[in-house]
Amino acid sequence: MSKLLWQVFVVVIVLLGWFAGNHFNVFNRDVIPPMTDVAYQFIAAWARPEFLPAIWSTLSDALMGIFFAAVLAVPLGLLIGSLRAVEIATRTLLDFGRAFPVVALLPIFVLLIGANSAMKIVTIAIACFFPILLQTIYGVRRQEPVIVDTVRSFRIPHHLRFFRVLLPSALPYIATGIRIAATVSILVAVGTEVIMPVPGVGRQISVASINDEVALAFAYVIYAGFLGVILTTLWEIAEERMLPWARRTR
Amino acid sequence: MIRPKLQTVKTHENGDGVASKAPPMVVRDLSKSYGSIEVISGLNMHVDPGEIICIVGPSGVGKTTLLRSLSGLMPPTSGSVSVGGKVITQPLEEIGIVFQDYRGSLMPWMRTLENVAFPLQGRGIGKAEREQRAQECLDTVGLSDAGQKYPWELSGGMQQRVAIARALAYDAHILLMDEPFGSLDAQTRLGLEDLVLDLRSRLKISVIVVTHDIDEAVYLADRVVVLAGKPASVVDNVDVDLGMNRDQIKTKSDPRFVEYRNRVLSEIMRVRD
Ligand SMILES: Nc1ncnc2c1ncn2[C@@H]1O[C@H](COP(=O)(O)OP(=O)(O)OP(=O)(O)O)[C@@H](O)[C@H]1O
Ligand SMILES: [Mg+2]
Repeated sequence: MSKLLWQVFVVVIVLLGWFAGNHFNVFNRDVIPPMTDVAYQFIAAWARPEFLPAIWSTLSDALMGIFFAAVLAVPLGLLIGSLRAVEIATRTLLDFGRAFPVVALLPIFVLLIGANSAMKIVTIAIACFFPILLQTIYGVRRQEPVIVDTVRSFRIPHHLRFFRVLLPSALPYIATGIRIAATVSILVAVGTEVIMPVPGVGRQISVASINDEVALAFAYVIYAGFLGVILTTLWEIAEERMLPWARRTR
Repeated sequence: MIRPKLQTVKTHENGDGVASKAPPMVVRDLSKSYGSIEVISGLNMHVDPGEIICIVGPSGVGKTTLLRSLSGLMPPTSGSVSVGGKVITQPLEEIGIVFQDYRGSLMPWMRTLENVAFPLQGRGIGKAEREQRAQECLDTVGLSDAGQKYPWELSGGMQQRVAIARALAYDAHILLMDEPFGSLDAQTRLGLEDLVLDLRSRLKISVIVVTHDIDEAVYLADRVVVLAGKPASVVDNVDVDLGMNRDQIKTKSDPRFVEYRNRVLSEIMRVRD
């Protein structure tokens, strides 16, 4: 409870600072619009016909991107993680992939796929693929030595070991990978929409700034942030439900 | 309680005339090195059917190393461990292990009953029979009602009993325990010591317990094996002649108990100096 209180407190302080900054003309109004204007646009945005479709477009494409990334990365991660030689052989490649700036490939994707939702989903999926893959591999590799001894001493056969020991013990790590992917997905979705003419919250941000509606652009930026927070929070709740044991034992 | 048997096993007679299902274990000239460092050298010992052996020795002497070799988890560098006349090269069905880190050895994603039944699944035993046997073994360790709980919902002592139940369900005739009660409070510890004595007399299994606690070693053991030296070997075998029925208060105040304890203690002190 007191944790929540502190979090609210910090938000209030930031908002007050913002308000004061504008009030005493510390901030340039063209760069940082008054908090009250942004607050107004934040609410008024709901009346705009393009608002909900934009939110939905960003959210649904982000979810699709995570979904495709997970469908590919989890099985591949389980495979790579359980074969030591493969894990070592692919290490450099994976480190490279993790650090690769996917957004730099956008012009190529546009040429290949066109400026549409499909292109956005592909970009998100690629960006989400690596955190999920790496977490899955890590989860499979990170077996507790006592569990390894237990499995050996009770002569557990390979298929049982995979499905009842390796997989469950990797699940919390896979879940972490997806949690990271949830944040990444919104970042990449909005980034793509800002740069490329594809629908979504990012698109509205760039349209608003072109029209000099800085406060509206700010309101959309805050909504984009909220999308990331909501997605992560929902996933954490789901995680707590599906893997009740994970948090208690770590 | 009648324990269901997986296979018919020859019974073995030990010196006291107790019919035990446990095969005898014999360790011959066992040596173990990690790299160039020899930890155990030329160690000989034997465990008769139905015996409780306690292995004591200072920290780092090689007790865990020895227990892992006895279990077949780790091959010795030279020498051999044989069970029922056969040299072991990998973990056996007859041997159950209770690890020192019982918290870590139970799978947190399985309920207690599943944890106990899981090793039986690997043997191709059907679900109904698995669960029935697991339940019986939970009954044996006094945890009849804990089957549907997760390990992390249980106290340390209960988790340790689950680990014991799992080894029993696996039909272990030889139970290896590595400092099994080290991190438990005194009361729980005494209760589990009596559980071990009780299991031995009911199920006629052999038990090998590694412990730091000399009182515990003498209280539990038919024989205390004292390990010492670098590299380690057996420096003393103390036969503890206190009978099968022991009592935490009566036995521990028995003058013979005190005598055994002092002998083991002086053995350890002598080597330490
Ligand atoms: N995997 C290993 N690689 C190298 N050395 C090891 C390894 N395991 C144990 N040792 C060394 O072997 C010696 C014996 O270790 P062991 O764990 O068997 O001792 P222990 O008697 O069980 O000690 P404790 O009572 O503290 O548990 C120690 O000096 C330890 O450092
Ligand atoms: Mg040890």
